[in-house]
Amino acid sequence: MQQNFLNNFPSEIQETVSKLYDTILERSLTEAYQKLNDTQKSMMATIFNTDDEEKKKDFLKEYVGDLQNTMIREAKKIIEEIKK
Amino acid sequence: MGFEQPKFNNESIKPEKKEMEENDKNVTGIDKETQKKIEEGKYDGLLKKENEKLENNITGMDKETWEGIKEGKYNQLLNKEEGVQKKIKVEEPKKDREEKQEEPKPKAESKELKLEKEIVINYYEELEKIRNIPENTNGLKKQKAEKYFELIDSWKDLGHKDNYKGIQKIISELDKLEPGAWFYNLAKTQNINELAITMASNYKEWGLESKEKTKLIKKIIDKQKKGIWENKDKTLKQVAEILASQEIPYKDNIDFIIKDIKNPDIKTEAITKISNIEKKSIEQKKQLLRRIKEEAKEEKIDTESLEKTASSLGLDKLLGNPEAISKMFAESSELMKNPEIQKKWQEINKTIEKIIKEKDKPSSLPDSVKKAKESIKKPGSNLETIFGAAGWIILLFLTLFMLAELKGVDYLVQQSSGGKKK
Repeated sequence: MQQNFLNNFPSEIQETVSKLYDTILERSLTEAYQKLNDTQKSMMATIFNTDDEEKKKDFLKEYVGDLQNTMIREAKKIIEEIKK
Repeated sequence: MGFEQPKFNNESIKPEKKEMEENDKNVTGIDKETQKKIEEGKYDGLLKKENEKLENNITGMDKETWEGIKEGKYNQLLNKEEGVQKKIKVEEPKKDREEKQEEPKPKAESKELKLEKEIVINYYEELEKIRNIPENTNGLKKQKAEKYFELIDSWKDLGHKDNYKGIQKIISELDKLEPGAWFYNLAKTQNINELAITMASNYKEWGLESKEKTKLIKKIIDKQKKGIWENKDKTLKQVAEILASQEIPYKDNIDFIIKDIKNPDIKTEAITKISNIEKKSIEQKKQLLRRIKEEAKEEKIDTESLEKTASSLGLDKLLGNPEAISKMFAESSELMKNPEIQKKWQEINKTIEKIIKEKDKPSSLPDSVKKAKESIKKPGSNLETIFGAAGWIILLFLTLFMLAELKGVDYLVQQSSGGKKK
């Protein structure tokens, strides 16, 4: 879905927007990761080293909370940084 | 192709399935979902009315008369009369009520049916009320649309009771309304998606022929707002999976849904998934159904907060003309050929690179975060589905922002509204 959307744009825009999206995702996940305790961090490491999609989803749902809104908040922050 | 052919399950309902269906009903014959809603208090108003009727005793007397009888005010009169009145057990009203509760199932079901009918009538009345709301301005239109969305949301679980005729009326009203807000289109698509999923979930409860049911589901999905928000293939795939997880036969049901999926990748993925679902046990299918429904809910984006975010990003000027934005995107290649724009682009890119490099050195990222990111970005994965919508919105924001920075918001607004370049 996302790649289909990006395909509508010239390669320069595609590349830069992809990089920004990666950054937003990393920042959002890092923010959530830092709030985890040591046990949860090691649980995350174990789960994300497997191919079990369900467990990954359940983990994010239980411990990472509202990632969608965090991502939107990070997008806003990053746009403000560029504007400065 | 690298996937197994789906099983064409035309067998009659298996014993375990019948058992499963029986378990889903409580002693009153009310289905589990309705029972849950009653417990949550959704039907409190109507149940109160019904309870009042019960309080008035089985003869339908008003409460005052009934209380009078219980207090013995009419004993003299009753003793004089022969027949029916003498049979009224004034001293034992509790026992009398208990006997009524133990009456055979059909009576309890008819009470339930009556209650459902009343609820549906209430929804029709609500629809009429909303239709009377004025729509002189975009703001009023938006408010009206929100009321319609709320009504669809409350009605959808009982929509099959009138074969979704009432809800289709709401959708026709929404088609005419068009409040011209960017996020209205997303909200409409999301509501249509949820409705289609509910229709598929209530497939067995719904008393139409299979062909009619699939036809109506497809008709509803087709109402998704055309343009950049449209995602019919994904909804069709979700509907097909929900049907399969309820053991609905592939032939003459799911196949009608699958054949409308246009994207070959999504179609292949859907058929493979259905084939896998058919191999699962009844309990696994039940769990899967629950999960698909949960995931569909999780995908839903809060359009109101999104609208606020867009506004705070200064993109609201652009959002007033959604159709034109698609056109503007299509023209972005031409825009990038302009040498002046290219120069500006280099400058913006430098700033972006600096921001990314300064704060987000990949080496400093924990391994778990890197892995989680890869999983979310993996095409076709569950996580990609869940976070895909939010990711898509972010990409949209970023792209709009880039174009606005390159040429200025005013320029883009002029372009999108068909005006001339300054």
